Amino acid sequence: MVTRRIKSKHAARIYAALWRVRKEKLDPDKLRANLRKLYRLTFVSEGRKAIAEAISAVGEMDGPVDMSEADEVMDTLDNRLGVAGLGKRLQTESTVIVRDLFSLGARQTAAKYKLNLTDHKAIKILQDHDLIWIGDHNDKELMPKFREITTDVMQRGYSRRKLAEALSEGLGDVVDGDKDYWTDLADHTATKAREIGRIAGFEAAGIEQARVKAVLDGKTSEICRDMNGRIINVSHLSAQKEKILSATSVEELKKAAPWPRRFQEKTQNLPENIGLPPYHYRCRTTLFAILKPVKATAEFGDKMRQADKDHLDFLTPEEHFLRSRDLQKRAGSLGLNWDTGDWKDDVTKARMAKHGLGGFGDDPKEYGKRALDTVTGADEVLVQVYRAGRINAVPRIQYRYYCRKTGAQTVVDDSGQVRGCYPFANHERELARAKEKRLCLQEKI
Amino acid sequence: MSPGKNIDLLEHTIDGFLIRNADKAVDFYPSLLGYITDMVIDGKWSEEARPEAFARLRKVLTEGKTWFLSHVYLVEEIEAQRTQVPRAHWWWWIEEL
Repeated sequence: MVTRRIKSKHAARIYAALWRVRKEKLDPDKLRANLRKLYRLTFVSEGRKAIAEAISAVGEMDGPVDMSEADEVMDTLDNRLGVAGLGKRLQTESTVIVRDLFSLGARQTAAKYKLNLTDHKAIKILQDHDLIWIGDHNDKELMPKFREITTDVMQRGYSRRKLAEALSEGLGDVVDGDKDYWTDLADHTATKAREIGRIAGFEAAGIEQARVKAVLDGKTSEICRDMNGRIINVSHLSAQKEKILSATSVEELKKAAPWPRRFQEKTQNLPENIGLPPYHYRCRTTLFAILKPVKATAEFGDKMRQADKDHLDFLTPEEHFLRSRDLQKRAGSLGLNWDTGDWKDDVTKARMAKHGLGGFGDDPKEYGKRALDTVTGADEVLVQVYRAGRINAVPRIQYRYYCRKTGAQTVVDDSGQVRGCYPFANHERELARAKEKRLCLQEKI
Repeated sequence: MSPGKNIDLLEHTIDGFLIRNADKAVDFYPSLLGYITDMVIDGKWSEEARPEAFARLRKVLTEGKTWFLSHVYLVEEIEAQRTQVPRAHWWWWIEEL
């Protein structure tokens, strides 16, 4: 009873925090968009200034153009677009946004969270990490490209006027073509600041476990799909956070938070440097506090392949259960995705039952509604491995929902896409047959 | 449910086997076979009452044998579900010569 009261008090605090965040209009998407805009525009405007300065430096020189002038051009560009110029400027201008993102993450879990000295240090470190990335990008990408252009125009022995034109065109292309990098960096900083802030919130609120939640759509990466629904101990995340914050070089940053392509193992085997989003550039995955832990059971069908059992075993029953419940919630709110290429056959299938149990009808909308109603009102959930028909196909996890009320089963894959909705004539018999090769999930109450 | 409607549904269900969608093979075809099975168990459909329809089902399944058997996971799925039924059952018709 006491535990329940504490939990509900705790939950109330979190709802209050969320409400406050909404009231103050600290919209994570807006903050992210602002940061993106700031980075991109700053780079473009600094790039233009750098080009103008470089051209003017060339124009002011006397005598024939020689290779030593290339170094002066490079110095001008490096001053403007390197860590000392662009990096410092970005840091100064983005401070408020990064701080807001950090505190937004923290306050989504811990009500009335106030940033402390450690947090301000963390925010500063996060911004310093941008300097590290900018330095690395400059050394590996920008400066070699600039040097290539300047050397090329010098070697051709252009007149000063012609040289200025070539610089303007070549450097302009580099600056325009590099805009995406700054958008990616801003996205990365935004996600990292919010997620590290969130860990601070978890720690302050005494949260012990967090759950990974990916945005499921056609753009979801493989690693985010693999990580979606994982339940991770906050102690693991805190340790990784400390490692990230203590990194002082590109190598250390990559070691503390690498971007794995996949993670297909049990959550308990997560390496110490994997857990905290972002898992890649433009990652939309976030962590959520687990306020009320669930208990679930999962039973393998007698005729399942061992490889399929092993694949489903990557997630605990609770993780499978929460994943399937997330899909149910989404089916009832935003809806699930459909593959439009499938629609023709799906409608054909719907037509099949046209004269039958009064169910699907031949109206695609009715069929779509039936599919989603089956998910939201499911009485049983089975989990299956899907291998796209080929023996070596990459296995995917799918959730299969059975609903007595709609007289149907809907299969949804782990990217949130409806794969099909099929009527059944007898719920128990159909379920018993399907269970032979699937994992049967149940919440333990 | 009227008998006329049942006959229509059986024909529509058999039509389902004419769709060749490899992407959904594992779920779609076993669910059709299961649907027919349950309707027969519940006494709503029978081979005696609709011999032509069941003959057509047999024909569609045996004619499509090569395609069905080329999908290893579909075959596995069907095999897992048909062990409790005799060889003459339509779960086996896909493999009939």
